[in-house]
Amino acid sequence: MDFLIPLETSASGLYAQRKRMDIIASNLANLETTRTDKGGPYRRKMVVMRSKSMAGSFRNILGRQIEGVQIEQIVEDKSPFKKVFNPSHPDADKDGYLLKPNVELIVETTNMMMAKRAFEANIAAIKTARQMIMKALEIGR
Amino acid sequence: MSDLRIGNLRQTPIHLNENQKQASTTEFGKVIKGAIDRVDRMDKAADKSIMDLLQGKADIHETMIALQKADISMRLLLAIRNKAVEAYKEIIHMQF
Amino acid sequence: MPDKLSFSKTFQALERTISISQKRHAVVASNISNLDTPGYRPKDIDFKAALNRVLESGQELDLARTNPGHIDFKRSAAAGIEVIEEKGEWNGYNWLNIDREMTKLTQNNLIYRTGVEVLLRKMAILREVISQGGR
Repeated sequence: MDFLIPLETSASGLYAQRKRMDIIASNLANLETTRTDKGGPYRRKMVVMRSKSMAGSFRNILGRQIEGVQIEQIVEDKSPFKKVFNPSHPDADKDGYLLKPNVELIVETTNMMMAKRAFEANIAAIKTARQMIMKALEIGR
Repeated sequence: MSDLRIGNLRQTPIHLNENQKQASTTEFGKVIKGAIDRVDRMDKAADKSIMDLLQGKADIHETMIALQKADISMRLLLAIRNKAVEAYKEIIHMQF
Repeated sequence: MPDKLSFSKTFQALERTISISQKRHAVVASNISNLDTPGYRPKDIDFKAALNRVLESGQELDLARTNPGHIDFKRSAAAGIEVIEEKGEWNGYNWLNIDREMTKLTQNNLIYRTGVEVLLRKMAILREVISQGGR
């Protein structure tokens, strides 16, 4: 049933956006975390997305071009931690400086809105694809 | 006056019949046969399109349209047949 | 007129499609309702395999019954549809997979509607012939 491939493509988008949302939630929750299992403050995480071909005999040439998305890996943001002067904090170093997570609230909130929009757009794409097929089924009724 | 003789008169209707027969196989017979062949073609194409759809090789609108083509050509054939039967009945009931 | 073999094959295929999608709906709905169940293993039906099983067996519709107590197993359009369990480790089929299941539901529903509508169109042609044939 290759006319259903657009739905699978959008579904992969949904999944990717929600995983992205998971990571954003993790970043936001750990905005102030100075202690982790690895030692040191929480390091911001990001998702790396890769396109994946939705295989199928959907008009061969066209079929190879239709690509969904998958989360290839979750990587850590290598940018430096924030240095804050706070000598009263238990984790402050000998100079009184505290290393804080490299998570920016503004960045995460913006990403969160984008993830939400992308998610909604994928839902709309699924709806539209479904409506088109339903209309096609009306031929000759 | 000579062409009013029975002999001559009898020849003409037979002559006409042959023409008519030739006309029927070239005109109306062709139409009927064409319609039958078309229905056959459309029907087979529709079936093939359904199988293609179920196996993922055809798109949904292609199959729906193929089915419509089969439907319409069948209706056309039936209409032609009905008209032919009507015409035949009319002719049969003609009073001379 | 329609080739006798392809005629019944098409109907067979359509009936089979409708049966498979009905069963699949139940399986996917069960997955969704068990999203909170710990240790639940999600299930699915391989649509293509189930369909091909009927198509490749050829025209074996008329299976001879030697004992009237036997059921016409092969004739049933719902026969031989396997429900497969997903392999691998599952510690509860969590909500991250709800997109996949909902999409499966939509797709399956479309397959069902398609099967029904195509069957209806095919029958309409036959009905036309039957109703007009008596004149």
